[in-house]
Amino acid sequence: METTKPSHYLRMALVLVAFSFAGCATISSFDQYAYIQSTSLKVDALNMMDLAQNNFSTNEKAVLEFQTKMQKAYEYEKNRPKNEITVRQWDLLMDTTGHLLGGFIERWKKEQKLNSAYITEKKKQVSTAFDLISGLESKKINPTNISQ
Amino acid sequence: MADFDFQSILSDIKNSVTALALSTVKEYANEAKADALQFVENSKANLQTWIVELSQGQLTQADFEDLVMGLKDLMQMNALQQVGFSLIEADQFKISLLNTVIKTVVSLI
Repeated sequence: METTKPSHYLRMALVLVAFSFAGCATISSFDQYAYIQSTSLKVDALNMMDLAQNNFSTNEKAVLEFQTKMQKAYEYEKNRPKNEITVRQWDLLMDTTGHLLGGFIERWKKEQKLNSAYITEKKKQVSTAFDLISGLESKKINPTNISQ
Repeated sequence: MADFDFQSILSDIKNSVTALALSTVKEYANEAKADALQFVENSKANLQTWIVELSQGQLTQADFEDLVMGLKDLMQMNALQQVGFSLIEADQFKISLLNTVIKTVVSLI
């Protein structure tokens, strides 16, 4: 009967060690769907912000549709394991008492119309905020690269 | 049965891992510093634009204050991104470490 060599056990152990990485990762891995969601919502958000030169009440439906899309993306992010940092970034972006997208919508609702210079500058901030979210996502480790 | 020189294997792994750790930390520290400085520079330029627009009446006092507070929120988002990058670096280091250990041991078997 052929006996198993110690080197075989060692190789098997090494393979097991390599596969155990997924369990000890400190941050979520790259997710193509999450990346597409953040870049797509950025375009929608900036287009919606242009409407703030007009009355909020006439654009309320479009705003509500956008907010629903964003809530869906947020729920997806919240349910990814080890994704707390990205979720905290979304919290800052969407916070209605803050000064990025959530705060912008609240101010528009309250004041009905916003001035164009302010909209232009706030769009730059919201654009940067989305870039910070997608920038972090794009640097996350692609699960297909772990075993290479 | 093959004899393994475990002392030699451990010594090789220790050398490889030390070199890997030093290069990873140095590279990340330089990148993080450059990113943070770039963010501050961009913020300074925006602030100057808003002061001009405020003085010309294109922005109201409330607009200006909201934009400055927005900058504060962006700085927090940027800080979170830096924390995220450091965790990604840590995970990449773990992968490299595992690969180094595997390659070192396999080459000696």
